[in-house]
Amino acid sequence: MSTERRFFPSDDAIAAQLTGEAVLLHLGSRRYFRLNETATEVWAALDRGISRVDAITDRVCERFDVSRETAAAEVARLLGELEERGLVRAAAAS
Amino acid sequence: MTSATAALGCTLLEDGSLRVVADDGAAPQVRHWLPRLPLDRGVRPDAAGAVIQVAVRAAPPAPPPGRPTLALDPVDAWIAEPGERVTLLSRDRGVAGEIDLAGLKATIGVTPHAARPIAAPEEPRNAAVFSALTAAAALLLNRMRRALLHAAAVVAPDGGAWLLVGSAFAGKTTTTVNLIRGGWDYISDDHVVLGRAPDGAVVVEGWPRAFHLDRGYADGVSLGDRDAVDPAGFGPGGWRRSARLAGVLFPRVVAAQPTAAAPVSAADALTLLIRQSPWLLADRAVARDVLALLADTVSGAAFGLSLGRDSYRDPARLLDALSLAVASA
Repeated sequence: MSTERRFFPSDDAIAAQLTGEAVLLHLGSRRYFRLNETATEVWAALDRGISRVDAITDRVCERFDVSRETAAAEVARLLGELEERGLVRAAAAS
Repeated sequence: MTSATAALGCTLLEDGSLRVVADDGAAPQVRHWLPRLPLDRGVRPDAAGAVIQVAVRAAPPAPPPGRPTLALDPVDAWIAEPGERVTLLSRDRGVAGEIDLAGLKATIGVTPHAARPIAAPEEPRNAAVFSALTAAAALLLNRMRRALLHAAAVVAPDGGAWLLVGSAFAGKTTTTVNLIRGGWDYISDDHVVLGRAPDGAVVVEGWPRAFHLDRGYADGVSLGDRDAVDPAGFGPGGWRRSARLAGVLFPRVVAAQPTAAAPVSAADALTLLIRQSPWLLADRAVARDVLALLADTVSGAAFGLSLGRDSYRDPARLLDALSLAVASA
């Protein structure tokens, strides 16, 4: 996944932040998804308007004891999965 | 129809902010749905708030185009974008309705055939009238930042309310009756309304109806057939209209194992809660607020309650199993 892309929460997605995890709901399909700690952090970043992949990766590195390479791979995987399920939308960075 | 000519009028919430009114023809079927609430005192029939009007109407409308947004068997609901109007229609077209969500007003029409006081000898209530009223109430309540839940609720001796959430035959009514016998109060065994106190705490209000208790309850067995019974005779616990939420229980019958309670994560509790009440997030305009209310509901104590044969007739077993849960709330 290119770091040139930006990601934004879909209008169809709403999230409930719970202790250490979150539940994400897609209002169109009525499906819900449990987010683990890392995915919850990624969603929290998106929800605060942090849309660049490298900035989201920075947050994950600050929050967890993980190498940047591992964090970047995990963030890319998560964003790809969220995009596939229609929970985020991607746009080219300006 | 106006409230002045209504044959039936009932306030559904403690603060008078949701009413149902019905004309002569529709009143008998609406009574089958009405919760057993105290007679209104001091609430004018034309008081401000949401209203559901039900009347006999001859001609059923055609279904709207497209797939329904929500199915509440045997009634479908179409929420038109941008989401201010809802169309309700039963699959046999005997019951139809319109909901003006912004205006907090629902109008339900029932054909004379669907309005017959006794729908069938084995089941007097018309399921379509019941579902249409439930759907209308649920969607109006969401606009009022409240949530109608398919759940039972009981009140522990310390005054905290516990929701009992589960599918049919999960043991909600049996648990409720056992706790009433053990001295707990009850709020409802079927539908409850979640709202907030002025300080933001979650409050549970009940829509009690006749309990549907397993026919084998008195013999300590589960037969799977249920009878309608009046909960008043089970005491010493009695009825309460509302109480602040203490926690959520998810009962499940596991007859061969001893009765026990075990913690459930907030995420699991939230998904279980949503699964039992399909209307909760149907209205996009208020879905975030409703979800926040539900998240607060499961953020306290949440326990899975495994119901063994040992507690079928022995409230003490159940009270022992719940003591940890109550102490943690």
